[in-house]
Amino acid sequence: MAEMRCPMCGKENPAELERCQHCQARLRPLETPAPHEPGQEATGPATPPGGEVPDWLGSFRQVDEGAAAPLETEESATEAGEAEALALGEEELPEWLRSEEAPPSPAGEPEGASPGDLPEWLAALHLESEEASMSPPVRYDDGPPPHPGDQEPDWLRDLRQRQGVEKFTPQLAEEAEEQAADQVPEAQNAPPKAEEAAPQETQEPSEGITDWQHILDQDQPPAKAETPAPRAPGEGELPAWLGEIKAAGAPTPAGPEGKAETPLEPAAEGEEETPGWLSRFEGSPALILDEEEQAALAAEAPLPAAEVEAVTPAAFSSEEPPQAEIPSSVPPFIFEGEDLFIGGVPDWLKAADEEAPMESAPEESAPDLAPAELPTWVEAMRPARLAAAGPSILDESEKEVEGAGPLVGLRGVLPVEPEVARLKKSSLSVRLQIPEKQAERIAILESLLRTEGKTAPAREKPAAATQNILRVLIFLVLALAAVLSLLGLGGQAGLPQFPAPVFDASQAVNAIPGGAAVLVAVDYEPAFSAEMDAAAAPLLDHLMLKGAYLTLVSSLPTGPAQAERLVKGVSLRAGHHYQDSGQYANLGYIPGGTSGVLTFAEIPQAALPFAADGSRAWEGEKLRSIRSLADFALVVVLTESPEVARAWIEQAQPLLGTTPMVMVTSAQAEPLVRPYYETTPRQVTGMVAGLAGGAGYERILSRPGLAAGLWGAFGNLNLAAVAIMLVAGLVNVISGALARPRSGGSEEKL
Amino acid sequence: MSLAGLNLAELAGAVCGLAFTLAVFSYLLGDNPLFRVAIAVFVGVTAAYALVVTWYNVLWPQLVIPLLSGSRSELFFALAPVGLSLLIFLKAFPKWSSLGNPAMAFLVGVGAAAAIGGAVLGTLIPQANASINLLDVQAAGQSGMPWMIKLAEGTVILVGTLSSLVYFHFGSRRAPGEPPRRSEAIGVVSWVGQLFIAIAFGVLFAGVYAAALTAFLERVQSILAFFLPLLATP
Repeated sequence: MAEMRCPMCGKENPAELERCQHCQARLRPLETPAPHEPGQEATGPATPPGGEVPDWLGSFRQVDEGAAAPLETEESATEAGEAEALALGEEELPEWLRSEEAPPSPAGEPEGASPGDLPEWLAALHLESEEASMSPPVRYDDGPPPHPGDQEPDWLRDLRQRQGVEKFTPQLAEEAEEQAADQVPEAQNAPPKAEEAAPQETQEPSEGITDWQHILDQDQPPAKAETPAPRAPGEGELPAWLGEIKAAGAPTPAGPEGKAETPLEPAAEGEEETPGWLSRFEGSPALILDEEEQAALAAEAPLPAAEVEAVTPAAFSSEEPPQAEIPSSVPPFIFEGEDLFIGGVPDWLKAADEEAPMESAPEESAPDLAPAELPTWVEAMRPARLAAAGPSILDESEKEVEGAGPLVGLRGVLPVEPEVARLKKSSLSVRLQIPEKQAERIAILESLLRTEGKTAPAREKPAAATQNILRVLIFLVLALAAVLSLLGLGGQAGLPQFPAPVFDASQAVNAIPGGAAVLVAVDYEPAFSAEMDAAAAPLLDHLMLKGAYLTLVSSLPTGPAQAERLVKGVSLRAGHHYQDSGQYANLGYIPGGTSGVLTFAEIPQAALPFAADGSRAWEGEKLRSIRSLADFALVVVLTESPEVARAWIEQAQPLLGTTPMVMVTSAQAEPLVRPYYETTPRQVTGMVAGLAGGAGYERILSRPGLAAGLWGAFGNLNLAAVAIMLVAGLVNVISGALARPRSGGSEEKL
Repeated sequence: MSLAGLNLAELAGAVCGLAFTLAVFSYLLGDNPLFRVAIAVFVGVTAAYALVVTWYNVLWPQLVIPLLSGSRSELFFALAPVGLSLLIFLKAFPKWSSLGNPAMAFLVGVGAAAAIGGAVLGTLIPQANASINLLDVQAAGQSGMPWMIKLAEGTVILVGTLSSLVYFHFGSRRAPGEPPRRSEAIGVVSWVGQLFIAIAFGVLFAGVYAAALTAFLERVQSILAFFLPLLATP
């Protein structure tokens, strides 16, 4: 699909569109006016069918009517598509030029203001346009156009009258041009693209340019194909207003009082004819300076002609936006040195110049600062070219010159189009300088990310794994040892010696009076029943022998059932016939965990007002006098958990006073509860730990029970386990020794 | 004891015990449905029993009965926990969960106070005193222990305690151009602490092994007690 470039924004659009889809500018002109012959007066722009000339545009045409001889551009082959007549008509104007669709009005100005509400200067243009007829485009081939004379706009006339300046004449323009020609430095090369765009525009004016651009370019000769040579001052295709700038040099603020007019440099002969709307300014004074300023201005170096020529109307119609080479065509409005002051640099400023420049001040003020050492990852992020480049602050001369839009040719303005729209090659390298180590880590990370989510194929499990075989084998060995021991085939094993904590526990039970109330807290899980029953049974048997009134509680929900089963089992085996009616009371479950234990220790009757069976146990004879735990003769805690044991010791033991506390624990909790037995004074009076503690207690009582029945098998199983460990360790050592010579030095270290 | 002397409930219990014991032993062959069934039944029965005990032992006598037929003071003391319990129930609804914050704060605060107070008064202070008294040679004479042995025992305990605490010190110094590392002195002391920690873990493991071995023996004994009468019965 054919595409054409918008003359305003430079973006691509389909060829069949009439307006640009980005900026709504017209892509094709409405009419193509006939080319003018040299010497012929401008016949004026063709009136667009059915439309009036806009006011502002008509005022520009007024200047053309006053031109004595239209400027003629160099003869060149022109194609159909010469600049259209000035009379674009409303429907041919870009949207923003139309009065109906005017751009948003500035602040303070109501939108859709009627011509009557327009500013004075714009209203003057409007009036002038009504009077003006369709004036032919002005040709600038024959030198500067004559002064508009009576057709001069009112505002300009008023301005001149106010300043007391005579009318600008062509002679004055020529003189100013001659003066400026001597001072224009060698022009730089005109931007090739701008020059190339001109022939493109003249050759194909119907594509990508608006009508008013045609008017600007209608008489401009097509540029040559070769790169134009640097233009000398005064030569080349200069519009009138640019020629004026060149003649005047750098502009200075003009005073409104009694300043002489400085004529603008008109377009010299052979130059490209300036468009109509610019021609009216050729004879108009742009700057009003006095004689001294004029002399100083004449002594200044005028603008390079090439730079001025580069900013031609052709640039507006170029298909491609001007590139970065254009900035050299128009020098910035910057003064340097003595040029700024017409009467010379004042003394106070000279004295300031003699001081150290500001740019070097920061450098000189801190000479002893060592450059910071940046880490490698920060250095890697530094752009390659930027690292070698100098200061990042651009000079004025390096600022980009606007290449599109109405501000074409000016430096330092905000770009019309965003940077992203410009197809400009970046001068900075975005490639990071990655060290080797980081590159390796990057590769590792990438491989990890690639394999993430990918499931590795499951290894087929062998039907009989080595670990399973060993596990079953060990079980069979232990089970055999247990069966044989329990059947009495493993020999009889004597009860162990009782340790000191067990003896102290038995002494504590011996010290209670007969029939005294003893608190028994059954706080072990059913899974540990085998060991805990074997450890607690001899102590309970001892308490039953003393006739103690057992008060059963538990901080576990399964504790009451455990307690009930324990008491009944001990009673049945030992033949005590303990009954729950008068020999023990099961108070049930203490809710709240640690807080519940503390509550029960402080106010036991309020914490558990009812027994597990719902009866009021505290009204019984034995418990009626109990107000706190200190009223019990002994407190026994049965638990396999070190945390529960610590909770009873920390919460209840401080409130016991002289009442002793005995712990019956599992073998796994003994190392953690033993420190409470070793304190001085002892927080735990006695301890019975595990099967060994129970067996020792049975030895003290000389009443074999559960512990004695399991002790022999326990010992045999321990022997079997030790044998298994020795054999397995031996096998491991032998296999490791045999495996080492095979691999030799190539064995990988894990 | 023979199976003939057991009533129906006891016999059923024995049979169930045997079945579940064998189901748990089946884990030797790996995870299997029998083991899962046994575990599920155990967890379910424990939860159900806990629910029943909580209702009959706590909620019914201490909450419902006072609300229904209690005196004015009992009713008043029962309304406070009822109100707080209802506020805690609102935590299950996101829209009203903020209303349960005061009750939760009360629970957490009381629990924390009890735990912290007990830990300080029941463990930290007494254990610190005990550690100090380890090197009391006069107390050793009262207990009948030779003072040399008492002193050596106290020294070993003190060295073990301090070296174990130093082992968990992870501070280090950073030298320029070198990776951070601990000082040599701390490294040596922490190595000694590693030995004591390893011995402590070994003792704990031995206790766990002993408890498990006892449970295994008891189960084997119960299996034998179930089958032997059957075998002995003519």
